[in-house]
Amino acid sequence: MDPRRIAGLLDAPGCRRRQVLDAAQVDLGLLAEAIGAPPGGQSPYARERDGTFTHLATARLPELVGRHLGIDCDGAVETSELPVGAGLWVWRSPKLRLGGLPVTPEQIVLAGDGKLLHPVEIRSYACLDGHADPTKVAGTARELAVVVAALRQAAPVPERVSGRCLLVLPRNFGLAPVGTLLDVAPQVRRLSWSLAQLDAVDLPSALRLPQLAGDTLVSALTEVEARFGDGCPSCPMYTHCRQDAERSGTVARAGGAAANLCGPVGTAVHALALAHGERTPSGEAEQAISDELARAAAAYGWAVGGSGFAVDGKRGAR
Amino acid sequence: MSLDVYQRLLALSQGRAVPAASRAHRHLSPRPWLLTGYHLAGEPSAPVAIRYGSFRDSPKLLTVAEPRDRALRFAALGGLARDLATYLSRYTVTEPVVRATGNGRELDVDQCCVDAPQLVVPNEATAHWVGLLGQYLRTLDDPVLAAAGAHLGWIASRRHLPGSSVLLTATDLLTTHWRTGQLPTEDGHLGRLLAWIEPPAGSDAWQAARDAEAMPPAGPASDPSWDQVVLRPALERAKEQGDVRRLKLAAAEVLDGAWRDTWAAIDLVRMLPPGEHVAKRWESDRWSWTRHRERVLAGTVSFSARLSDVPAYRFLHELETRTAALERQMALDDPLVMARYLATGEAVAGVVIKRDPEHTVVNSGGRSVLRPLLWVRTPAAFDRPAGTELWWGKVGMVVRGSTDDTVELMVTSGAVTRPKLGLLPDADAEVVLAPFGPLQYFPDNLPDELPWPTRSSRPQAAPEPEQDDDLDTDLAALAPQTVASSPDPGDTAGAGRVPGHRAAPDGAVAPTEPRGAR
Repeated sequence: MDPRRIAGLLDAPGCRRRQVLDAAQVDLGLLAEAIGAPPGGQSPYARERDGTFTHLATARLPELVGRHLGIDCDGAVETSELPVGAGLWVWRSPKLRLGGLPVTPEQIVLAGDGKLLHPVEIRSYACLDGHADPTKVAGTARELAVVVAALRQAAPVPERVSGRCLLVLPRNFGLAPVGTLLDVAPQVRRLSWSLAQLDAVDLPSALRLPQLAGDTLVSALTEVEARFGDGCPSCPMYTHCRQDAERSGTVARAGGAAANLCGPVGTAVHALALAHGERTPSGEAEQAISDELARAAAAYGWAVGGSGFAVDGKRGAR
Repeated sequence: MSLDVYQRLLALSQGRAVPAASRAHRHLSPRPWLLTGYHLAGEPSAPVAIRYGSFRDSPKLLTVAEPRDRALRFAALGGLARDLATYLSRYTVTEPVVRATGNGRELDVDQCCVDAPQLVVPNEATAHWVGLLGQYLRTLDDPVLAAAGAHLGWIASRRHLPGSSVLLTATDLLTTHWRTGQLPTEDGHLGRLLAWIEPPAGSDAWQAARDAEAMPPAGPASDPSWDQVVLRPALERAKEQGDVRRLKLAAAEVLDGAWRDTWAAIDLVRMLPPGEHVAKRWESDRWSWTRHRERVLAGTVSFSARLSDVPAYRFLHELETRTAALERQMALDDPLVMARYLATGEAVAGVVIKRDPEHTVVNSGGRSVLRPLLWVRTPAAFDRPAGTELWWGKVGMVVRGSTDDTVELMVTSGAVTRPKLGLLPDADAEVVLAPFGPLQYFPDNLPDELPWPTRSSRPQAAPEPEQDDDLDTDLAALAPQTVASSPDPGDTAGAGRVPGHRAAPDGAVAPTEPRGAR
C-alpha cells in the first residue's frame, strides 16, 4: 500500500471499519467498483506537472541538500537497500513494512550525513512567498511519517533514520525548486498510536479471504461498525457510509459538533424528541443533553415564532 | 454552539435546510461582478477558462487554448484586465463626507466614493484563486495586467476582514444564512448547499445533493476525469488545428452550472431584508476602496508577503475589533442570531416582574446615586455569576443574583438619572438582555516602547541568496538550453517591486473606518 493510504488512517481516528479496510489490505479499485464510488485519480495535467517538476528538482537536489542539510554530494546514486554513510541515494520501489502492513512508495530519496539519514520529498504544489498550502503540507507530513516509520522498522539501528525531512517545492509560479526542512516527529508518534489500534483490530473471518469483490466485500466490511465524522470525505468508503448514516438518521451525519454534543444519543429523531420534551431523558447524561438542546429549541422557537421579546429598548415589543 | 447543532439536527430530520438568519448580513451590490473559472490542475497561474461579468444573461467567456503558453495566457488575461478596469471605472464618483480627525475633536471634509465594486465567486477555492491571480499578474511587466493585479490584490485582501463585502463567496453567503444537515465540509460544495436550501420539487435534499455532486465542480480545480475525457481532446484540437470552438463549448457547458448557482445564491440572500448595520459596514469598504484608488493614482500600491511587527499589530487589532463588532451588529440586527446567545446562556430572555426605580447606592465618593433594580423572570435558570454585565439597548445593568427562575439586576448606565428613568423597561414587559452594549471603541495606540524587539533594533538579517532562475511553466522554457539562458523576467521584476521593508499590505491594514482616523 502506498504511504498516502496508510497516512489516511490518521484522518478517521476511532473508525473500526476504516481500520479493518486497511488491516485486510482491501483493493481500493475493487471497493470503488463494488460501492459505485465516483472514479478518483489525478488529472493528466497535474501528472505532467508533477513529472516535469520532479525531473527538474532531482537534477538540483545536491545543491538543495548541501544548503539545507549541509551534505556534500555530486548526485543521487541508485540503491536497493538502506544505505550507510554520507551521500544522496534514490531507492526505487522499495518493499518496506510498517507493523504488519506493506509499504510500497514509488521511490524514496535519502540524504545521509554519515550519522543520520534524512528522507527527501519532492512535491509539485507551489510555495508562494515562502508559504505553501498548509493542508497539503500537513498531508505530505503524514505521508513522510509513514516512510520514516517504515524505514525505522527496516533499519538495524532505527535512530539512524531522522524525522527531519527535506521538502522540495516549486517556488512561486515557476518551477525553480526551493527546499524547506520539515520535522515529522509528531506525525510519527500519532501514527504509532494509530498502528497500535490497528494491531488490536480483530479481522472478521470473511475479510481474511483473499481478493473479495463486489457485494461480498461490501457486506463483509459493513459487518464492522463505522464511525461517521468530519474526516470521512477522504475515505474510500465515504459514499457508502454516508448513505448508511442517512438511512439510520444518525446525528453524526450532521458533523462532529453534533455528534459530540449528542454523545450517547444516537439518532437525530431521538435528540429532537429530547429537545422538544416529547421524551423523558433516561440517566444523567441524557438529562444534560436534553437541557442543552431544549434551551436551543426554545431560543430558536423565540426567534422564528417571535414570541415577543424586545431585543433593544428602541425597537419596543416585536 | 448548541443552536447550531439544533438547527443542523432539524435540517437533518426535515431533509431541508433551516434558516440561520432572518436578515441579510452581507451587502449585496445591485451590480456585482461575478467570476467563475478553471485553471489547469496544479497550476493556478494557468487559467483554462474564465466566465465573468455583471450581467446574468450575457457573461463573457475567456478560454486559453494552451494555458502553459505565456503569450496566449497574457492575451486572454489582458482581456480580463481591461473588462475589470471598465467595471471598476463605474465606481469613481466621490462625495464630500464630514469626518472627525485628531481624536475626534476636529472636523474635516474628505472625499469618499459613493459606491464600491463587489466581486462574487462560487466558493472559497475560487476566492483564494482570485488572490493568486492578482499576485501572479503583479509580477508581470505589462502595465494593464499589473494594474489588474493590484486591484485583484486589494479585493482579495478584503476577504480576510470580518464584515467586508468586497469579495463574497456564494458558499459563505449561504452558510451564513442557512444551516444544512450535512457535514460542514460538504457545505463547501455550492451545488450541494443549494440542493439543501431549495431542493427541486419532488426530491429530498439527500437525493438533490447527490445529483448536484455528480455535476462538474464549481472550480477552479476541475474534475480529473473531465480533464482526461473532455478538456484534453478539446485543448489538443485547439492547439493543433487552431479550432477553439470545441474548447469554448466544453468550457461554457461546464462553467454554466457554477455561474447559475452563484446567481441563485445571490437571489436567495436578496430575498432577505438587509440588516440595519450592513450599510455601515459597507461604508468601511467604500472608504477602503477610496484609499485604494488614491494609492493606485499615486502609484504607491504595494503588497507584502509577511507583515512586519507594527503592521502585524495593527492588522491583528483590526481583525479583533472587526470580529467583535460583526458579532455584536449581527446579533442586534437579527433575532435568529441573537438566539445563539440565548441558547448558550450568554443572553437572557424573560419578563420584568418587579421594578425599584428609586433604589440608590452610596458610591465611592460617599454620594448617594440612583441605581434602579429590576427583577426578570426567566424560563430557565440564568447560570452566569453575579457581576455579569448585560444590556437592554443603551441601558446597561449588572447581575446581582439569580434563582431558578428570576434574575435580579441593577441598572448601572443609560437610565440612572431621574429624567431618564422613563427609558427603563415597564413591569410586565418582555425583554432580551444581551451581552452587547453600545459600541466599544478601543484606540489602537501603541505603547511608547514596544514589548517586542522591533525591526530597527534588531540586527539586519543577511539577505537570502537570491535564486534568479525561476522557471516558468512555459513550454518553450522547458527545453533545457532555454532554461539556462532565459531567467523568468516576471519574477525578478516582481521581487523588485515588492519592497520587503515597506510592509503595508494596503487595504488589509490601512485604517478604513472613519472612526479609526488618526
